[in-house]
Amino acid sequence: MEAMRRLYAGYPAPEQGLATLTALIDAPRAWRRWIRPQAAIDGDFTLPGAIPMAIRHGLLAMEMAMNMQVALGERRHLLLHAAAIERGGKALILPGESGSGKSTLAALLGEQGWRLMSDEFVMIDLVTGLALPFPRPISLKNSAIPVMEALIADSSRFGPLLSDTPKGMLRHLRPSARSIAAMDVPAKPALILFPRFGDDAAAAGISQSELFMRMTEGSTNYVALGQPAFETLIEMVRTIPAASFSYPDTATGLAIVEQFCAEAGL
Amino acid sequence: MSAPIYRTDYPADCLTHPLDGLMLVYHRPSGATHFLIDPTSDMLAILAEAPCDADMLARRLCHRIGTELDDEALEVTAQRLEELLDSGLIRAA
Amino acid sequence: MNDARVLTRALADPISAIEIKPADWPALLSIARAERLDGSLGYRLADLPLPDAVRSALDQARRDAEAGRVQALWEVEMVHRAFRASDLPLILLKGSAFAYAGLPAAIGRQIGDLDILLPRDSLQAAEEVLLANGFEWVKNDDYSQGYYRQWMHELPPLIHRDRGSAVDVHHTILPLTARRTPNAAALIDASVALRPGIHILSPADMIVHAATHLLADGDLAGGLRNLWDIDRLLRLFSVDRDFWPALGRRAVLHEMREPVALALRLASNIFATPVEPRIAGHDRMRDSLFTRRLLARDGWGRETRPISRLGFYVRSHWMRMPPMMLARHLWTKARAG
Repeated sequence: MEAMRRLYAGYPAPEQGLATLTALIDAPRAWRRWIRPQAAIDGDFTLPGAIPMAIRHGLLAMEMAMNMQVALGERRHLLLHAAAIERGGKALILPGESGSGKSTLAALLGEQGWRLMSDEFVMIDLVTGLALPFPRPISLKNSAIPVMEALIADSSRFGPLLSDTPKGMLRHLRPSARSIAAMDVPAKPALILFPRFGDDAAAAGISQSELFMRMTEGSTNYVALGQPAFETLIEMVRTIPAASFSYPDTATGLAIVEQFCAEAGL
Repeated sequence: MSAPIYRTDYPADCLTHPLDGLMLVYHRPSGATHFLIDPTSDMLAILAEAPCDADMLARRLCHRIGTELDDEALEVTAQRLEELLDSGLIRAA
Repeated sequence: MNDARVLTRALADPISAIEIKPADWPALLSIARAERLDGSLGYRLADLPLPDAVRSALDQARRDAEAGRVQALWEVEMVHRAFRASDLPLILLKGSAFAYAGLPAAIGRQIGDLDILLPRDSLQAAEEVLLANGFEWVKNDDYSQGYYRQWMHELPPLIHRDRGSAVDVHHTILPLTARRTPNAAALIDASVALRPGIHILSPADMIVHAATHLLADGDLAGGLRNLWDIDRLLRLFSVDRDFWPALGRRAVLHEMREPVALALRLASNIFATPVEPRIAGHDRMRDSLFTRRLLARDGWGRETRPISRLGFYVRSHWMRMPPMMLARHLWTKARAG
């Protein structure tokens, strides 16, 4: 709990102290509170079959429980599984699953002149088409951890180091004060890049129809939102350039991103 | 037993948008989104003009896109009709 | 005592929600979601002056319910197309019936599976039609298939391979092993055709079904939603002066007088539903046990009172299966893991 408080220090309190979603971690069976204690992820919205985690990873479990509430429950905006960063009022969206490297790239760029909007979920307003921020603690994994530790002097922004989680070593990083302060400031999406970490540097343009398909695959609520989501996505693929790229290391990845941004006018 | 007549609620109950030579369709009654490749969207357009059976559909389709009405055309038409029935974009009366 | 009364009060008396303190809203929303009544709550509280965050959450619930309704109606349409070709009647039950008929009970209701009723001797044909139209068995092992076919009141569950939707085909309302079962043939005879080939139960039978389902066929899990259905249906149906006598007659015919009476008393108790006292009868001591079970949620939406819950689970299985069978069934389930 103390670790959570520190990780969320500086976040504004909800209006009137009113929360509208409940995320839960709980012992899956009563005896699991004391014998090799576990934390199962639960809450208002839940998926069956989520595997409980060790209690020492409770902070991670809590983050995952909260993510699950948003991923399953969001119905106002189109939810994309993507990172997003903003510069000059325009947003770069980086869709991708875990392991694509989107979180690390976004975290780095967020410390180098860009404003981090989110590392995990981007919401698209169905009326305006704007990207809405959702800055939560960034999950840094394995090799990304020392990179960010070297870059950020303020150690209070880091959560505890969690070792041997299901995803390896993990450490949470609180977004910059600037990101948190701007959590209600939207930005116009101007470029969509699909990163893939671990291959030689390469890039390819994405056609509009392919972009449409990939965006629906990367959204947890496209189907549930119906017609407005279809219309919003059509408008996005018609007006926003998109490409995919692979990169062998973060320095190369960042360089490719900046090159695309220059061409797209961000 | 006479051959079934196929009807469709396309495009009346749909939102459609061509992209890269595909037709993207949002089908309101089902809430589903479909990507249609040629000649499926032509088939739907033909049925929307006037419902008909598979043979007539194949004939009108070949006429519309300028190909021979041969066995392959009949087979392709039949396969696409199955897919369209499964998706609910057409129904058999 | 912290329980779901905060939800039932808001549903029954929406204006009272204006007085809810900010600190109490999270619990109400969590309980509503746990009971799958968040959509209904969203519609009941739609135009009230509430905190922005709450309005947003309720808006989401309404949208969710609406998306579910579209999908449920589409499922009815697709199954109807499949059945029509084989001249099989489609008799809708529960949420899909409410939605198709545009009943008030459908407002904001989250609909799960498509539940349909068929004469027992049409089951084979229905099974073939569904399997030929993209549906697959969920439980395909011999024991489950055997259990369902021999003892239960429905085919084993079916899921559509593309749509992911589920169909539950019932041939009566309660399992064959239950001590008393409603008269399926009578339900079908009295069903009302909304369109050629698509039927719903008659109003009185709908209440009998809901009451039966609420009390005789389950451990009351999700019971509040069933009870809310009953409240909404009764308020509409009772406008017709012939309704209460018809309900009385049908309850007797289906040998469900007690469950119907209890359902009416619980609805009256929890939702202040106006009910006909001659059918509802006097309050019984057991009623409060049922009431507590229906309202057993804590401020995080979790079920409380585990002892009470286990009692109902054992009771409900006992009502479905003779004790010897129950033991065998639980043993086989345990071994399968």
